[in-house]
Amino acid sequence: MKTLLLLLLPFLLLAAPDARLKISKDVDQRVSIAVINAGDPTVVSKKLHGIFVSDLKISGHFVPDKTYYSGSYDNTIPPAMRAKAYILKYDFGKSTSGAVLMVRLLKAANSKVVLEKKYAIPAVAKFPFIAHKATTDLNDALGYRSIAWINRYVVFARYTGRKQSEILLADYTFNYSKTVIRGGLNLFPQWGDPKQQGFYYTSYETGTPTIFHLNIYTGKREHIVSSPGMLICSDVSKNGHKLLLTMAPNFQPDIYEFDVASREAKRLTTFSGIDVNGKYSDNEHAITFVSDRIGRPNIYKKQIGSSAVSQLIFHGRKNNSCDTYGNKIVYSSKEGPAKFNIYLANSAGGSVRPLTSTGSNQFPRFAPDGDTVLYIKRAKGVNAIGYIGLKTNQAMLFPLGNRKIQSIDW
Amino acid sequence: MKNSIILVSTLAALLSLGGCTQQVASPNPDGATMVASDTVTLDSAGASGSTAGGNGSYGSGSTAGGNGKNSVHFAYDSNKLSQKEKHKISRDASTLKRKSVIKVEGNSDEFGTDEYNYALGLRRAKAVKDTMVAKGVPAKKIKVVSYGESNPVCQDGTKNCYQENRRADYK
Repeated sequence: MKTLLLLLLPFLLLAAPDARLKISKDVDQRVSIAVINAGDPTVVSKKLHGIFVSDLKISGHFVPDKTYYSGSYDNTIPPAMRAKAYILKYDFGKSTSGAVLMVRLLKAANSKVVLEKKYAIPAVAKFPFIAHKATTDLNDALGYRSIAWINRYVVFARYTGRKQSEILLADYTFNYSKTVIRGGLNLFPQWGDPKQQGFYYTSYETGTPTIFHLNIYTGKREHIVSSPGMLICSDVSKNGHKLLLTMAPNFQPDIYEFDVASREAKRLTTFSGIDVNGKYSDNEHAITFVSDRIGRPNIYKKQIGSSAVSQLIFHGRKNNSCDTYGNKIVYSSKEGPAKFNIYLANSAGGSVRPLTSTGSNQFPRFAPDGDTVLYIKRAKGVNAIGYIGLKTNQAMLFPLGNRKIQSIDW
Repeated sequence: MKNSIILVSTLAALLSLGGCTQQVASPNPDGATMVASDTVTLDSAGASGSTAGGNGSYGSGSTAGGNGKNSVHFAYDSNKLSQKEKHKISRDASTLKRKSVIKVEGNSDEFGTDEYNYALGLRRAKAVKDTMVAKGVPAKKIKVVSYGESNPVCQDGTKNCYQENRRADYK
């Protein structure tokens, strides 16, 4: 029975988006599409079908047919599929230098070719990215709002034992993942630049918390700063020149703005309790952060250079993690012993919108476009990564196994 | 400390110039768009943060800090030491004064999220340090660090188990 549950789990998770999500978008505004595997039906090429379906669904612009179809790579449209708006045909195969994917997007009504393109990838293991790129291109070819975020790496840390962790890269579906730092205790990875050339992370290898920057392509590792007690890079400015650190040089956790070039840190908060999780807001003129200044964690905002602090959230008893995008704030709120839910709010005021309703939902992070929120769901000992389209109201979950996620960024 | 790059792609950074990280601006000779150039793996084995208490595997019900450490415990989401726990530290003060270095590690249960738990662990470690100093242990001998929820002594998912993890260890 346990084995059966484990086998079914990915499907159960994928089929169980949060119940309180209101599906308000008119389904008729999205176009129907079927995906046909026109190459050899290998294990990888069959998996690609599911990834294409996920990509098309999360875009919010398509209603993909989940049925696995195989067929030829010509312009022929099976009669039963004429009622669809589009047909996506693909042919995936290994090459001498990796793998190649050919895609052809056809109008189902008249077999007209809308897009035809070929992609190459150096490592077959990275096959999910080739599907993400192809989906992004066909989405663009049809003039829809960009979904380029699906091409990005997710970087995350997970615990492997006591004082042991590893940092991994993954595609957004986690069909691909690769360990980039293993051994020791390495935590809180945070992308250092919009192009994802490298990330900052906290290392405990010397016994004193230290932030390094790792270039993921060259392997160059740079020491940034060390500080006793605790040290975390919580956010990076858009130009990559400044970092928001939670630092405690006198064993008092406060938020500092750190200049990468000069290595100078400016203290931004001075409360005698806990101030953590600093995120730039208001075009980097302010920070939004978590503080326990009223005896429990909640979300606050402060203009950089000003001493005034304002409470942003007046909902929930323990709001202990947040992310920002413009005026938008997502935060997790503790609502029971192992129950956390994620809410969307606006720093300018207005109502709070629940984004999740069951299980433990934490680590909310905005996509670079600000329209999609990533989070980690934990239910019955199993982790899943979840995505919620704020405009499209599409929600998806992908299973992550049972190792505890420590921190995540994308 | 051993840090070695065990795999570096031949494509490396030159292929990572597009609008998004993994998309490459120039097509390959076959006219295909190159996607997802390879990345490195950094091996930090041997550069472990596993100082006192870390054994590489999660605990399973043990209530001791392990490795000759002493532990004091805290209430949920609190960094206040009870009189009983303060007394425990006082009792150890004379022994601690003879040490050249004392390491205090703050820990938390698994509830709460990432950064907040590390800050809570630090506040707990600081409370222990302050009590030691009040009992005559020189402050300069005491090193304080937080391990947040990364160093649980117990993972049974019970109330007692979670309580065991809300602690500070000193050695």
